[in-house]
Amino acid sequence: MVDYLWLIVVLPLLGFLINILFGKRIGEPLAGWLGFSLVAISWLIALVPTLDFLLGHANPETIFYYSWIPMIGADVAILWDPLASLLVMIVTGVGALIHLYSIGYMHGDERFARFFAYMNLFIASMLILVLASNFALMFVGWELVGLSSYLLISFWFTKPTAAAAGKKAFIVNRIGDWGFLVALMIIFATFGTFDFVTIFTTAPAILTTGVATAITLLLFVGATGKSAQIPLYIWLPDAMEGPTPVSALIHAATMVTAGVFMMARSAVLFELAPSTGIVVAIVGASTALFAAVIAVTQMDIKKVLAYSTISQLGYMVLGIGVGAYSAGVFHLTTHAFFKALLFLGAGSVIHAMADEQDMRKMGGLRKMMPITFATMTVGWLAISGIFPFSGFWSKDEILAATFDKGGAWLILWGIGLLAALLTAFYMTRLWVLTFWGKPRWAEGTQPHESPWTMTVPLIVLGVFSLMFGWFNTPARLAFEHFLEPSFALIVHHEAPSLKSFYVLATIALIVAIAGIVWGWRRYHRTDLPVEEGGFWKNGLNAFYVDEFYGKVFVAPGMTISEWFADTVDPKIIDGAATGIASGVESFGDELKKTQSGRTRAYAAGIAIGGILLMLAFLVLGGGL
Amino acid sequence: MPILAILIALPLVSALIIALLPNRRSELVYPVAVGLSMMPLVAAGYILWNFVTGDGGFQFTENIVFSETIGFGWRMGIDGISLFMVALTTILFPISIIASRSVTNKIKPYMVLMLILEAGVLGVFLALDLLLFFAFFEIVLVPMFMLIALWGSDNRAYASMKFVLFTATGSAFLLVSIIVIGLITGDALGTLASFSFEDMLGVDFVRSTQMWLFAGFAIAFAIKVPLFPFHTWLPDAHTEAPTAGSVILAGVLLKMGTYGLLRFNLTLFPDATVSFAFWMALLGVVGIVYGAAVAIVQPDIKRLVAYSSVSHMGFIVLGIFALTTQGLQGSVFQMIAHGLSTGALFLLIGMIYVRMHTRKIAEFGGVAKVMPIYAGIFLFAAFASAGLPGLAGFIGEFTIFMGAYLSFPVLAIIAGSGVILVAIYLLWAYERVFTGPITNPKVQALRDLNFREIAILIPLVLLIVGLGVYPKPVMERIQPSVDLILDRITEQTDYQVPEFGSTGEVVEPHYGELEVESHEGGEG
Amino acid sequence: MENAAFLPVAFEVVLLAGAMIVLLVAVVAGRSVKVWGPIAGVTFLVSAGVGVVQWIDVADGGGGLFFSAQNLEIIKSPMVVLDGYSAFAAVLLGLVGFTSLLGSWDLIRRLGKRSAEFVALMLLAVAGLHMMAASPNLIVIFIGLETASISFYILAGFLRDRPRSEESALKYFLLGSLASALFLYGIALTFGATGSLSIYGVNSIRDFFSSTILTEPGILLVGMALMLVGLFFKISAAPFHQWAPDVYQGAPSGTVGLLAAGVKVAGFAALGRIFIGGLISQIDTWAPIFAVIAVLSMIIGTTLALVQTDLKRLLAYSGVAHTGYILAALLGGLDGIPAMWFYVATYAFMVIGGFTIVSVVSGPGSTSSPIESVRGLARRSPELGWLLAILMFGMSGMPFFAGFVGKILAFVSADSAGYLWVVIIGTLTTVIGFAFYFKVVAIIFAKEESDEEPINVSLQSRLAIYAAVVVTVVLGIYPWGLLDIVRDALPL
Repeated sequence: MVDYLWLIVVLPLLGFLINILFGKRIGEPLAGWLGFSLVAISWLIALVPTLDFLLGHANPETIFYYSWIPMIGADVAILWDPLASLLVMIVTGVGALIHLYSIGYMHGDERFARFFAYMNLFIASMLILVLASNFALMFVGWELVGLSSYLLISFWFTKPTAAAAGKKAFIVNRIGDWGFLVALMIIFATFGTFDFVTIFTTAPAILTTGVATAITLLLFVGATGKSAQIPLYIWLPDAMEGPTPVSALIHAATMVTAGVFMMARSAVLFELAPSTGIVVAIVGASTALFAAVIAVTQMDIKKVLAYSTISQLGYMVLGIGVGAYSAGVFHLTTHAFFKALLFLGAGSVIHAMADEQDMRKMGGLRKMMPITFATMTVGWLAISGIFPFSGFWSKDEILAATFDKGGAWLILWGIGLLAALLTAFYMTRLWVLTFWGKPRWAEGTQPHESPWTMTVPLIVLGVFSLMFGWFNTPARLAFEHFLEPSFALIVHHEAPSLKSFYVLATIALIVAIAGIVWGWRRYHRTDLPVEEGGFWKNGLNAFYVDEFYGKVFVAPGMTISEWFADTVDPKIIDGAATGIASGVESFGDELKKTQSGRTRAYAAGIAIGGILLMLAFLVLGGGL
Repeated sequence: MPILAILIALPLVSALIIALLPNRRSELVYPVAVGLSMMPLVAAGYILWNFVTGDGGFQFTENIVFSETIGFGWRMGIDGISLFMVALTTILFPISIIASRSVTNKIKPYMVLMLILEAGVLGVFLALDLLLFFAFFEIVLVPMFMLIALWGSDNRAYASMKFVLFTATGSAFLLVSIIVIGLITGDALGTLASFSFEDMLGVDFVRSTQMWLFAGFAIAFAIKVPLFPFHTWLPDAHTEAPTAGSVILAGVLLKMGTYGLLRFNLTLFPDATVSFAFWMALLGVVGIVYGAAVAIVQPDIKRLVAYSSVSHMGFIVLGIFALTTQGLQGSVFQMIAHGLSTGALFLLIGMIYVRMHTRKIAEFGGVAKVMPIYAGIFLFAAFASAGLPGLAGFIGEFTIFMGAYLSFPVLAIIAGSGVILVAIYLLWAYERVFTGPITNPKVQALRDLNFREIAILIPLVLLIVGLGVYPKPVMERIQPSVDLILDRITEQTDYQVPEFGSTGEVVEPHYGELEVESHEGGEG
Repeated sequence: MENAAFLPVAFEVVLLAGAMIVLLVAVVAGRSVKVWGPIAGVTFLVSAGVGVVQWIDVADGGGGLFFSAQNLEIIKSPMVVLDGYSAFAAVLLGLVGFTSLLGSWDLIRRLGKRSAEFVALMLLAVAGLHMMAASPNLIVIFIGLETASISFYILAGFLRDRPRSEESALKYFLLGSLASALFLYGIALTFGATGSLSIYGVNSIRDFFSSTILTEPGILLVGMALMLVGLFFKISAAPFHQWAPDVYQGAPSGTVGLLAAGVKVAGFAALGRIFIGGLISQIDTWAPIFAVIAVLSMIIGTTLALVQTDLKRLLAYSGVAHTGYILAALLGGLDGIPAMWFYVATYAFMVIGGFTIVSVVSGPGSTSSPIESVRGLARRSPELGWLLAILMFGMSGMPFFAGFVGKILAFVSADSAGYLWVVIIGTLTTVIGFAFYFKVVAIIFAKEESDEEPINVSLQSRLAIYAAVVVTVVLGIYPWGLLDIVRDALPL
């Protein structure tokens, strides 16, 4: 029995309340330590039951707390299974590290406490999302992470760009949520409940392919919002306006993976809708490639990482699409480590460069900040997919699964490879431009290594980025076995045979190395290639997708609203109403003219009235 | 103990006491009014405490017949629906009275009118005699008119008159319908007329009559709600009304419309309800989208919130005419939630207005820098009204969606777009008012909320969170009453509540350790 | 029946006596200006008391027909009827007279010596008005009508120095006599058709219809039509209303109260007496016409009131509208009588109160009072402001004010008789009514700084206004007492 699990949600929530109410008085750095320790405690609490799963001691279970919205059967309850426990580990573990990091990073910010309040709020929301035992509660977490992401992106709200970015993130996510919401409507109408277990156990029996497709496609719309897939990825790059730890925690490691998690959670439903799988896979693969292409052209170190995140999420989504759920989740996990690492490293660099984010103004930093350099290198190799770093294992599993399906799926596999090549290339570009070559700093900047609160998390994450992959080598699929209870209800895919794996792995490895070599040769030289105009210009502006949306959706929408507000409402609708009123009034004015004031006229009036009266009587009384 | 009569009498007595205060001691009025305004809250608490959960019928009923011939009497009762309308009223009135500190001129009549208004509103929610109901429904116009006309802003004359004429036009149809239905009931009972709600439930009216009467009632309530396209009085009334006026208007008065639809249209005219359901729901959905769309481009923050009310009330109407238990319960809950969140928003707008004397969004910017607490609470209220999960608004909206989809899938999906639009207009407004650099020197000089202002907002905040996290106590009191209405409709007509789920009702999940089947578990 | 009975005519006798006393005192003691008003007041109160005695007597079964002229074969008809109807009219008119006397007090005070005639005329007018309600004989009704009218002609033109007043008096006189003439002719024709001038008793009009079937209805129909012209004129029903605004505006504000209230009470009393008491059998013929006139009055009254700029004219037109609503009550036949009484009674006090306030604000002798004159009234005199506002809400038919109860009763009565369309138009015109009543209220409380010095209200005017307000509010909240009374105030 693990009834105490509610604690791991409530503790961060407590931290949020304390810091939001008394943060100012608690002050720096205590508020930070409070936030950090509460998350760390949550991690510790969750650790033991997770190990139970790992050692196969425990079965999944749902823990009921109280009935939330009775008439739609939405309860506050936890579904505690390996998948949930894994995500809890990531969220609290990586979360705790990033809290620690932030104590150093946010040093001296006037709203220091407020920052940790929001971070704790995010952790709590994310935990609600992953622990929920039903779709309704998951939707709560889903929306609340959106809220905390909004708050944290626009944390420095006096910067108009930051405020706008936060708003954009929330609104774009809400578009996805619409899909999610409609999916929930259909689910409720079909199953009469939101409870995962009930739904997933009964689904194969009562769900027709058509409905399943509708539900899953709509769920996927939700996922494209949260997990920044085409066409709704546009909010994520702007989200970099937030403080770097936020980018690391929310927009790399955890929140953005919520979409992937949600689809993995609903694996049963996706299994029942094969055609959805195709759509998901295509969107995932193309996102992976498209974002990678943009990443190549970015100059802002954080923007590069942002697009690389979108691209990596594309891999995960591709994994879901091809039905390799555990592979997708595996990549989610490894990515959480190395991308958080990369962001924190970037943050440490930016910190050192006095908030300079343009890679063209960096270079040669490896001597000044060795720890950052070393850990970043690990992250670089991991994301590029170099043996034996974690990224290598997870990415290849997805590609292998795609390849396995054969036929037209090979195209997606090809796209995946191409994206892998570009990934290796742009990451090398980032790595070289930042740490190698001659310093190109703006004068007056003295780069320095960051304080221990910032480096320790880097080291820890570095270790995980290096070794976590060994956890699930094709030879020893410990990770998949760990997750099996969560996917017990779906048809299990045969893992690709070892031989074919070695072939694919070698190909991928070659591609990755090619990318690195290409990148090294192109950027490790004194005269950097001029990258402007043509492709570079378009790429830098993300191929003007934002502008396109602005023209096609936003502008017309505003025009319609204004037409409603300036014409329809006052003139047509209100006009009709006030028209009647003025009509009555003018009628009165007309009548007024009969009131001539001349006695003769009145007498005539009486006479006429009398005559009419007589006639009326004669008619009615039949006197005629 | 005739608690309902007492409940209505308390504000009137308080009004009398205040009216009798010596004119020289006008400084007494505010504290006395604040104190007295708490008494109805106490009475409501007593009712809430003694209310029998699970009984959908009317409780605490009072029945004193004044005139046998015209069948009119003091007929009062409270059920799960009116219970929370009363609670909402008795909560919002003290709050808005406390919030009226800035009212300086003619404070005495102001407070008297507020309390009379409270009595009128309570009467509307409690009356079980249609003539009495109409009397309360109509008398509310007078104090509200005075509040706008005497304490409103520049364009008050126009707005107050518009408010009266729109609503009164609706009431005209309502009155005719009530007289007709009263006489029909009288015929059935062998008297001249009877306006007793209970009596009317005994009569089943001819289908064609139902259609006309439904229309008569519906027009009146649709204008009050206000349902598109009868909404144009609301923005003007809101922008001109004093803060407390707006709070009460949005928080309570609009609910009189949806309450009327729920209590009378659905119950008295089941056939007509079924035939009109889709069209009413459609108007609701149009209102949702239209109101939100118009809200986006409003330059005046108060006007923006007014239009957001149009949008939110659309949800309630949609839920009512979905004619499913989820929809109905969601609607009643949404009435409470909207009352709280929009009430809070109008209070907040009032607080900035007394500082800046403007509500033009363009004149703000960067307020969060100088008023962090204010900004925080405002953002909270905004998200509450945007239906953020964990807050009251979500419960109502979400259940309405679920209930509406069962009856009108397409309408529900279109209504779903409301969740996007609400985010757009609220967050965009927040961005322009609170974030960015400070451009207006007047903003630079702003002071953050004082203790009293925070104190009146806290109860709302707590209620919004509490109801969002643990709505069950409210829901389980609402449910029996709305189910009674629904049962009546299904009995009197051939309407069938749409079946859903594999079983046709909400499935109770089983909890605890899960049996993990073998890998092939899925294929069976 | 005992012809020597005094009680049936006691009301008129008291009033006439009062008038005589006033005039005599004026002649013998010319200086005693101060006492005439009080004498009149006492007389009115006594007369109302007489009404109460009559009511009790009727309740004990003392009612009936009196003063049958045995020796005249042609018109073997009683001259006076004592029933709940006439008794109630007596009480009401007594109180109306008293209240309007209070309302006219400021005027009386400034009239000095001439005030003797003024109050005497008021007493005479009320006596005449009651005769219209208390006689079963068409001729006597006519005499009552003329007695009242002639007094009013003079009262309307009492301030000879004011041309407007003179003009309005003349206008009133000319048109009034025309109407009276038509009324009289109508009586003649009715007599021709039915061979009777009497409503009750042996071979009365009622007998006639119960015994014979009218073979040649034309004469009767025209007779009814012409009688209606006369009465519609008195109660200023559209389209016979045009005199009202001009006369109200022209006449000294202090006199309009009785003019507006008293004539309405008596006019409706006569209508009810003749058409429901006597011609109820013809209801299918006259009810539709009543309905049309009612609707016309509602529409014309409200829409014209909407565009008025003079408070007195506004009240005049609103009076036209109210006439419409009261007529709607009569559509219900005998069941409509209580509604009519309740409505007309409450309205009478409201209108007196209204005109009293007007005469306070713009002077008792004033012959015009623009609405602007009450702008910011609440500032100059909060008391007056609120009182006038209450009266406005009362007239507008707001719930919990007397006007609402009257309207509901009228509408129920009309609808029960099958005149739903009248009710619909009635409710809609009520909304138009809100437009101008609320407009006045808005003006009263307008924020504009008004530099006028505060108004001082005489005790008597204050009493009159408060009487009106109390009636409006109390009967609005608890009408049941009065309703029980009017339920018995039916014609024989």
